[in-house]
Amino acid sequence: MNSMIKSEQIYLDRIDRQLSFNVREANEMGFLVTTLIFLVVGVIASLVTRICFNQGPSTNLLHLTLIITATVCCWMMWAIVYLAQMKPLIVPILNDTE
Amino acid sequence: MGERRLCCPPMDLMRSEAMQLVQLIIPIESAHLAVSYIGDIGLIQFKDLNADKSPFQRTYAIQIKRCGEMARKLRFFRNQMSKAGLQSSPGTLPASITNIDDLEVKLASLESELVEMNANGEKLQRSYNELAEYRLVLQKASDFFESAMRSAEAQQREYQSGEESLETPLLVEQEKLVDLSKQVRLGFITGLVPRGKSLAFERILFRATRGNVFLKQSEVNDPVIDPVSGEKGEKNVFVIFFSGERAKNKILKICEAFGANRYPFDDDAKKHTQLINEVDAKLTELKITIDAGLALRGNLLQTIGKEFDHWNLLVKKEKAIYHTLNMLSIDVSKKCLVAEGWVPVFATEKIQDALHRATYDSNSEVDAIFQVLHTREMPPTYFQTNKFTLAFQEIVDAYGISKYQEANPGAFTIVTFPFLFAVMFGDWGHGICLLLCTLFLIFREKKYLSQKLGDIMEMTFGGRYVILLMALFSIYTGLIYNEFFSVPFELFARSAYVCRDPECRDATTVGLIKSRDTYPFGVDPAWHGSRSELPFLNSLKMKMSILLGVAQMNLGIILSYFNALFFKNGLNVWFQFIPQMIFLNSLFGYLSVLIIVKWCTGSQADLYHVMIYMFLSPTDDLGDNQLFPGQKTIQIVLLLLALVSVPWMLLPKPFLLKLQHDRHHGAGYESVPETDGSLFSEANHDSHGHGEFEFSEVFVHQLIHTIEFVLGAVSNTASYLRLWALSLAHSELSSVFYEKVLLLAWGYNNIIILVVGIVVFICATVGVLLVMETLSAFLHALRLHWVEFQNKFYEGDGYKFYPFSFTTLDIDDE
Repeated sequence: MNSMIKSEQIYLDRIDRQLSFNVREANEMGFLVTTLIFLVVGVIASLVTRICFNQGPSTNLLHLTLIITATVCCWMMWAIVYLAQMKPLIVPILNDTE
Repeated sequence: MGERRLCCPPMDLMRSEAMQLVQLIIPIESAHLAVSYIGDIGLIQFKDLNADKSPFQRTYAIQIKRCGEMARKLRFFRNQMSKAGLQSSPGTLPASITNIDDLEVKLASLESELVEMNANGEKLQRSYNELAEYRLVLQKASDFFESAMRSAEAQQREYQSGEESLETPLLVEQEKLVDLSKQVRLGFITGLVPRGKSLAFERILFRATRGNVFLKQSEVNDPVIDPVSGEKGEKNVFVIFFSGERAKNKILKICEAFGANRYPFDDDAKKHTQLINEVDAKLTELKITIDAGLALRGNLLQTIGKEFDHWNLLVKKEKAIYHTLNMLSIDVSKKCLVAEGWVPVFATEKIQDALHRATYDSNSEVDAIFQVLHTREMPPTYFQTNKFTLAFQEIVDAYGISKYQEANPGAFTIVTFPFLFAVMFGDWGHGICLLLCTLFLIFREKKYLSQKLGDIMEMTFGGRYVILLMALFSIYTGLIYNEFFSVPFELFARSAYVCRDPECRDATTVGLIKSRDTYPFGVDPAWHGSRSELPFLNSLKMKMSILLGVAQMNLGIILSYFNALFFKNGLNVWFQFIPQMIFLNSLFGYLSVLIIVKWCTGSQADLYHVMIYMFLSPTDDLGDNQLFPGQKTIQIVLLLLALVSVPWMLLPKPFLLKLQHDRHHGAGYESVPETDGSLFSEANHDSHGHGEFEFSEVFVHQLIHTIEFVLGAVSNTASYLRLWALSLAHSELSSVFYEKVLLLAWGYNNIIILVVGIVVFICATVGVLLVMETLSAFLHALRLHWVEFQNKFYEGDGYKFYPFSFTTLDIDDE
């Protein structure tokens, strides 16, 4: 009897760890996937600008720099907000009046 | 200056254009044309070679006076045109006059014509007004005389009917015995007096003549134009009866004093009607003449109006050309003018081409000479901007013009400035409003460019592309903060937070629980309106501000590295860039890393504690504040690095500069290109220039620089917290307006209160959030750029390139 409860507990613990691992993995997967999306959008934007607004090598370099800066800024902002919410230390406590 | 690696061509806007000092030797015959063509190109900034001469001593002073005269005549024409209500309408026909001498003659003749027409017109108008007043006098006085005559006749009839009654005056019989010869003849004066002064007029007349006058006034209904002053006024017609010469003189003087116009009047009743008809005829005649005169003047002004803009431009151009010619020094022996100026290197061919054309067009025998001079003077800074980048470059220039060819923060400001604005503004509803406003301005661009706008409108219109980027970034950060007029939406996925149990009993005490995946884009909508919203958002935004701040400051320091590379200043790389990077990153870079690690691991470590005790007691055990293994050792290493980097920044550089200076001084002359870089660096650091080197001054300079950097590292990082502060203020204001105005009005279920509530909400949103908050966030983002970003690398002590160009004429003169 006792050994059965113990083994059940070990089994449940393993599932629990697996689930929390899955959640953790989902967090990191989400992070990586969205980072990749930002990268792809940045690359597409630079290609589009290169094709549509081709104005000579120095101007193209300026456009590229601007797009890279914009992509990095936007990604940083998103990444900061995402990371802050991955493992929160506090949770929303609703108001009484709702 | 700075060899380019073949892989990356120099980036547009990164450094100012390469300039060269050129000397032009232009033969006098082709000078005027040459300067005119150069003005069309607009890429030379002439140096004033006659700076010590007064404006009257210069060669072309007479020509400028001529142009000034013509400009005065044109201003007179414009005055007359605006008085007549006409505007200059540029005709589509080709301009008739292109030569300035012909123009002078034409302007003189037109002016004399116009002045004559004006004088005649005034004379005619004055006679017309006088006649009009005379007519009024005739009318009113004749009415008066007739009524007086009638009442006198009535009285005589009554008297002649001889009825004796108690009312008959007793002295009537005595009156019949009056000798006709002794009858005193009464004189009279007729005229008009302004109504306001009529009472005083009457009183003074009475006093001056001791009551021996009879004054009858009658009002004129319509306002009358006074011939002397030309203004309309209310007047009264008066008739004064007096006896005696002295009374007459007194009355005349009083009339003059009161500005009462006198007109002769014949009391013969028969002539009245005839006279009135005559006057009427004359009035209509005069009116026709005056109208014809006005029409003629109108025609003349219209013909002037068609060519006005063209003449104006011609005169302005001439004046500008002569001002420029005055700056050139005249070389009488060789019969040519010598000009010195700054030209961007890429424009060399264009200028040479223009000079050739001028020589050809003016049939000159000798060609102009174009020569590049070598100088140590610092050239002006010139950026080639288009309408999009111009506004951003102006923002940077407002703080200080870049030094010649140093890294231009403007290139990055194009993105980072709207981004930092958006971090403080973050609301995609407000962002959409801003976007609509600026799209309106951009679509009406052509129309507004040609108009003259008011001050505020001009600034807003000039910054339309800045506001466009600001709006786009605001929409992005609004989506991240999840605020649409302070209302969150579940746009990207379901919220990550759910109640702990199905009845949500614990929701208001312990709170929700995170069971689903992290909300993928932005702040989870469950936070809005909860009690723990502020602690969470404050922590998030403060840490975000620190991370963004450290990133931007690092970018600044890296730009200083590129500057040092470009100017071949190895000293700056080893003894400024590296210690600065080490200091900033070992302290605040480490803090950023800690923030990220804490977020990734979900640890409960207190970062304040970690940072403070890193300094106070670095060897203590971290305990609960341990975020990763080996933290204590790493902290001690970083602290030591930071401590080492401070004297690294301070001490070696002044000594090495002294060593360099001694070596150059002792070595004598060296070829210029080799030492150009380090000499430049010397000029950077001791402004006395080549030759003088004050060690104490250099040392103090370096000390100040070091202290500024070290203290600035802390204060600048804290300064970035304004990103948190303003975004908090914005979201709180927005949520107050939404909850306390709109929702409150909605709660009453009354349509009038709802409409009032909506109006108040719109006014508050536009006034406070869209105008005031925009300006506020704009200002703070600007401050972050000017101070915290630029003091890492920017020197900004250059001067701007102001070429001689005809396109800038209109702006200067108007």
